Amino acid sequence: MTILFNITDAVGTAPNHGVTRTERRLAVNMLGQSDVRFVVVRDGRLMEADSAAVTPFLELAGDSAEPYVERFGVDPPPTTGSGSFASRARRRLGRRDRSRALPLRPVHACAEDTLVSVGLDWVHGTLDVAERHVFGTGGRFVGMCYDLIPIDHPEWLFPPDPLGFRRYIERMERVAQSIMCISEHTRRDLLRHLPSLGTERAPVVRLGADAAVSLTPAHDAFARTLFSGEPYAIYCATVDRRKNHHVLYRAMREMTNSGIRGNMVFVGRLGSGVSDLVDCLRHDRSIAGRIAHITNCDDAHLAALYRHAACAVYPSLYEGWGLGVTEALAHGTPCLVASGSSLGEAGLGVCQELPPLRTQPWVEAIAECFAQTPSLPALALPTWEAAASEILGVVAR
Amino acid sequence: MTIWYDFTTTVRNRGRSGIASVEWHVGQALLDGDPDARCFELRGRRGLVEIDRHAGLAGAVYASGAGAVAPVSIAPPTWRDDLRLALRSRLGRRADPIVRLLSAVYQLPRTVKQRGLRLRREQPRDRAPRLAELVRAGDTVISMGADWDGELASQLLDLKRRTGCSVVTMVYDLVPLTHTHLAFHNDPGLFRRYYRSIIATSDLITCISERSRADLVDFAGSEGLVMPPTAVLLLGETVTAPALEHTTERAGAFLCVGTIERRKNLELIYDALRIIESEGHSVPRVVVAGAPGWGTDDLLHEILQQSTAASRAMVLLGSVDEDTLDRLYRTARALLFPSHFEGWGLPVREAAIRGCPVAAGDSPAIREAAAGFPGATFLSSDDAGPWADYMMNPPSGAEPAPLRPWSAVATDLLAMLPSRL
Repeated sequence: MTILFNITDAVGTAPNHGVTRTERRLAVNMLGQSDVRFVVVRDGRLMEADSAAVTPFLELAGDSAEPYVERFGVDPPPTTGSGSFASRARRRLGRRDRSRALPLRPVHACAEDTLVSVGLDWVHGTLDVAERHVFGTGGRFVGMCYDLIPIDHPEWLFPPDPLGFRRYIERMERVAQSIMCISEHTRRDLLRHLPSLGTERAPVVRLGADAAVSLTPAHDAFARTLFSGEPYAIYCATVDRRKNHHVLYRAMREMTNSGIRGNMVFVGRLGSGVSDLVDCLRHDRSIAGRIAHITNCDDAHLAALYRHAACAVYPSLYEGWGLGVTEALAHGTPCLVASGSSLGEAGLGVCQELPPLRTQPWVEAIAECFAQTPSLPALALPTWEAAASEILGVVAR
Repeated sequence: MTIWYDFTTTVRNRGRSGIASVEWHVGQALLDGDPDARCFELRGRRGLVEIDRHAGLAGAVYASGAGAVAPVSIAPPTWRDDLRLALRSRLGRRADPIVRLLSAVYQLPRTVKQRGLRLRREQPRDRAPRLAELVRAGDTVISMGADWDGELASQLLDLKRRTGCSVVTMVYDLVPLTHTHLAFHNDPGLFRRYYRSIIATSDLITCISERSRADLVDFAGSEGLVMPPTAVLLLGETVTAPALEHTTERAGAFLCVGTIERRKNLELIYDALRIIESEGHSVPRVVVAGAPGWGTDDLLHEILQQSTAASRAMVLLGSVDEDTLDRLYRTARALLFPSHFEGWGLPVREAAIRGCPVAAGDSPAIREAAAGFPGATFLSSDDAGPWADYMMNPPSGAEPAPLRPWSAVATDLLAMLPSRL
């Protein structure tokens, strides 16, 4: 039996967000497994790539980059995204060229093969390929469910498409032997929508966490001097309406009014539904210079930011797992998380849970961290290696 | 001595803004009390011209309900909405010129058609008498409106130099300078020029609250300007028939009043409803009386999806007429007024005189407006938690605050005039 592991996103041009990162990390940990072959969905067809050729493409996440820092109310906003239009275009074209350079050949799949896909399958049309593999070749397919946000919370998507996503998961139920879920919370949500799936076909796979990377003095200085040595909290997530940066903005205003010193760093690209919030942040003089937004941040700079942060915060209104939380813990940074979704699970039981929309608890908890950074107990962090093994175990069932 | 009263803002805004409403009500009360008072407006290239006071009083420029606009539509967003949201999401306010350009291009056929029709009609020649030929030394010109581009202030200064009249103006707040993130224009330079011109032009500046006066004095100090005399002129309230009566039964929805704009902070109420929803309680209904404004696109997008109990609990009525507003105040469980900052807080006063409990964002001017009203509760405008708690346990009705009629405002204004000091 062979596993055909789909790495379409991992070698593609998608930004290094949660799903892509997950696919890359899992692929890296499957390299060298004799029963794993890597495949890509291209132009509606399943193509295979050599393991040796794939390796450099999976290291895209490690690209070094120069972060762009905008301290709201002090620094000018980036012209467009990060860097000029021309430089971004060059970067994008460069990436596309690299992924196109991956040598591919048609897959010769058989009934014993299992196609495993953990990427943005609703974007790439993976289910078309999966249906041909399952119903045509007689093979098997294992998919992944990250969350049910498009159905349960269409208000956070631009544009919303709840019916389209519902059709997608119903179709996945039809074709998949198993639909892996990234948390118990996500499994509950999935079974609420697909009760006929049953818990057996919806195993939970715990994602790994990236450990700290090696840093240079320059990375260290970048983080240390960000607020001239003043304490700060870090929130690493796309600046998106669902991620609820708003409560941190309100908390910073309350802290300013109360004379509490300390700052906030948002790390992540600009997403949807936050144009009003960002406009507010850029022009609110009461918090000028106290909230910084960092884009184009590579892993080394991020690790340095985590190292110097008084705490990490994750007030997201809804998460399927909370990769940012376990990564904060992996860097040894205590994390405050929002209650109400899977973030408690991702926090491995050591993160303080706070109501996401009530400002005062965040103010008090962050102020406590600024006053004295809490220490983390010894943790058995989930690893990507274990996650990859779990997936192989699911396939072997 | 003749009093000349300015209706420019009322005419331009058709009574749709708070400032226009104040200008109208003060003007109406003032003209009622002084048969010799005359009124004027700034009319394009012709400048300041007298307008017929009877035409104005008959409602030619303002009538109760004339400002009502359609409720907020819950129709699905069009491709133009999607494009606008996408552009604003990427570019922020830098997208505004692009959005305006696209909008102008899209509406070009309609604009050309309308302009064409207008040109075909015969335009009567404007024979309205110019103020410069009518105003005498010793007369008082009162302008309670606002004209940010400074043309009105410039014309008033010119009139004052030509005729020797006194000019009385009004400052509502200095939000564009003190809270730039809450101001639509986000152009401090424009407003600095505006307030400088107001200070240079006026013989008396009335302010609607002590807070606004303090902000104005601070501004003048920071700019090194010599301040003319200032006075606080508290605003009045309107109560429509039947006569004011104390309502004890308040089983209706919660009420929000005001333009749906960033400063009014309606998002905090939505978040409070989401807290109530997330805690498994029944989500109370909130009726919003106010036209959609600016800086709330993301919030409105979310509410209009109607995908959560909180969004379904919010009823966006759009702008309403005074009779409807009066009924809403009388039946509402409470007025929710989470505004970040106000020059005064007219809805707070309007609720207070009807005995409607008020939960308001804690800012100095709102405390002034609610002074003496036992039904007022002040909460943080940056924390949805206390608002959720308030909505789950709202107080019962309170003893109404005493009404301050607009005639009293007019009387106070007349007593403040430089010529009568």
